[in-house]
Amino acid sequence: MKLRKGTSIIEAAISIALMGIILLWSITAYTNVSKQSKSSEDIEIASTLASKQIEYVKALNYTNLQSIINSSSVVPFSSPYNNFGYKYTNVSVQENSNFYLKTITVEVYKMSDTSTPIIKMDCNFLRNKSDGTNAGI
Amino acid sequence: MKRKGQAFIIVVIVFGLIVSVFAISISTAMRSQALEETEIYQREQALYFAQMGINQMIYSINNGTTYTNGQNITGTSPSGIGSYKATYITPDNSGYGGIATIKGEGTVGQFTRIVYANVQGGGSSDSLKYCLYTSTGGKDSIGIPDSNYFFNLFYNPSYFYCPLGTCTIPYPDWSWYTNSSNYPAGLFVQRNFTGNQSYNPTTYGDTGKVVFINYAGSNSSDTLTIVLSGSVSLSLITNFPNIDISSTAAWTAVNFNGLTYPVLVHSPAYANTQFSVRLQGNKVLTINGFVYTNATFTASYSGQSMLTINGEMVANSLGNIADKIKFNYINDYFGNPPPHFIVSSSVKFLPSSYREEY
Repeated sequence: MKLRKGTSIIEAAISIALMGIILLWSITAYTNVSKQSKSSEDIEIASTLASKQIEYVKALNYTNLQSIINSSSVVPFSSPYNNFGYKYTNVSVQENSNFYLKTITVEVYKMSDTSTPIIKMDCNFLRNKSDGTNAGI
Repeated sequence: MKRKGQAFIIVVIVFGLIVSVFAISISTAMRSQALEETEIYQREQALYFAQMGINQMIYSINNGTTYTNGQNITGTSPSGIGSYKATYITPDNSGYGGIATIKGEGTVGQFTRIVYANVQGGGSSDSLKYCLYTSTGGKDSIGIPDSNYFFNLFYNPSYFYCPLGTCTIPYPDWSWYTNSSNYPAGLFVQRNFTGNQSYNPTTYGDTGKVVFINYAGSNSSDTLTIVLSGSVSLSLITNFPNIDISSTAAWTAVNFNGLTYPVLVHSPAYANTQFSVRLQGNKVLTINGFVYTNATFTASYSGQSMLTINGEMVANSLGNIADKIKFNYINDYFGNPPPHFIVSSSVKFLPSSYREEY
C-alpha cells in the first residue's frame, strides 16, 4: 500500500509538471505569434497610409510638389491613424527645360518608434513645367 | 491506485496533444495572415515601381532620347527594396497606335506587376500646321494671291506658309528611319549608291515599301534622279546630296498597319544641296503625303505642267517655285504627326492610356 501511495504522488507530480510545461509553451508560442500578428497588422496599415500619401503627392500642384524636400522629422498622420507618421527621404529631381521628374521615398513609422520605419515606398512624379500638369502615370 | 495514476498521466498527455494541435493551428493561421499582409505591401510597391520605369522612360523620350523597338531601361528603387524595367515597343509591334507603347515592370520580392502605357506625341509645335514650312520663310513673291497656291483644310490662312525668317524646321530621327529593325518584316529596303544615280522603284521592285537609299559617295553635286510613272506607293529615305524629279506620276506615301510614313525624308550630309522638281512639257506630278527635305526646294515648269502636293512640305529653304504649284493641306499633321519627327524642343510625348496586365 505504501509503495502504491508513493507511486501515485510521483505520478501526480509528473502529470502536473507535464501540464505546466505544455501550458508554458502554449503561452509563449501564443505571445510570439500575437506579436508577429501585431507587426503584420502595422505593415498593412502602414502600406495603406503610404499609398494614400503617394496619391496625395500625385495630386499636389506643381509648386507644392517642387517644395518637397527630405524630411527632418516624422509627421503624424491625422486621426485615427495619428499613432503612425511619415517622412520623405531619397528626394531627387531630374529636369530639363520642359519637364520635371521627382523621385521620393515615403517612409512610414509608428510614432512610438521613429527610428526604424515600418515600410518604405518609392515613387516618382512627372510634370510639365509650362502648366504643371501631370505628364506621367 | 496504480492504474488510476497511469490514467491521469495518459489524460494529461492527451490534453497536451490537443492543446498543441490547437496552438499550432492558430500559429499557422496567424503566420499565413501575416505573410499575406506583407505580400499586399510588396504588390502595392511593385505597381509603383512599374509606373516609375514608365515615367522615367517618358521623361527620357521628352529629353531627346530615342529608343528602338524592344530597347529597355532598368533601375533600382532609391530605397533598394525593388527594381523596375521599362521596355519601348513600337506601334507596329504593340498592336496599339500612338508614338509607342511602354511596358513597365516593377518587381519586389517574388512579385512582379506589369503596366502598359500608350504614348502619344503632343502637337505643341505649330510647324506641322502649315502647307509649306521652311527655315527661310514662305514662297517667293510672284504677286498672285496666296489662295491660288495654298489650301488649308484644317487651319486658317495664317498657316499657309511659315513667316519669313522666324522658323526652325523640324527634323527626322535619322537613326530611327534608317534602322531596319524599326519596321515590320518586309517593309524596309536599303539600296547603296556612290555616284549620280537614276532610280525607278518599279524597276527595283520597291513599290509599296519604305526604301532607304544610302549615298556612300563623297561628291556634294551627286544627284539621285527619281523616275516615276503612273501611281506609285513609296516612302523614300535618303541622304543623297541632290534629288531631281521630272516625271508625270502620282506619288503616295506608304501606309502600313495604320502608320503613314512620309513620302520623302531627304537629309543630305552636305550644305547647298537641292530637291528639284522639273516638269517640262505638260507633265503633272502629284505628291500625296508629308515631304521633308533639308535642302533647297525648287520647282520649274513649262507648258501645262503642274505640281500638286496633297500634304505638307518642310524644306530647309526655298528657291524659285514659279507659279504652277499647289499645296493642299488635307491631312492634319499637327494632330497626327509623322512618326519620329522632332518638331521642336517643346514637343511632348504623353501617356494617353494606361492598363495593367494580370
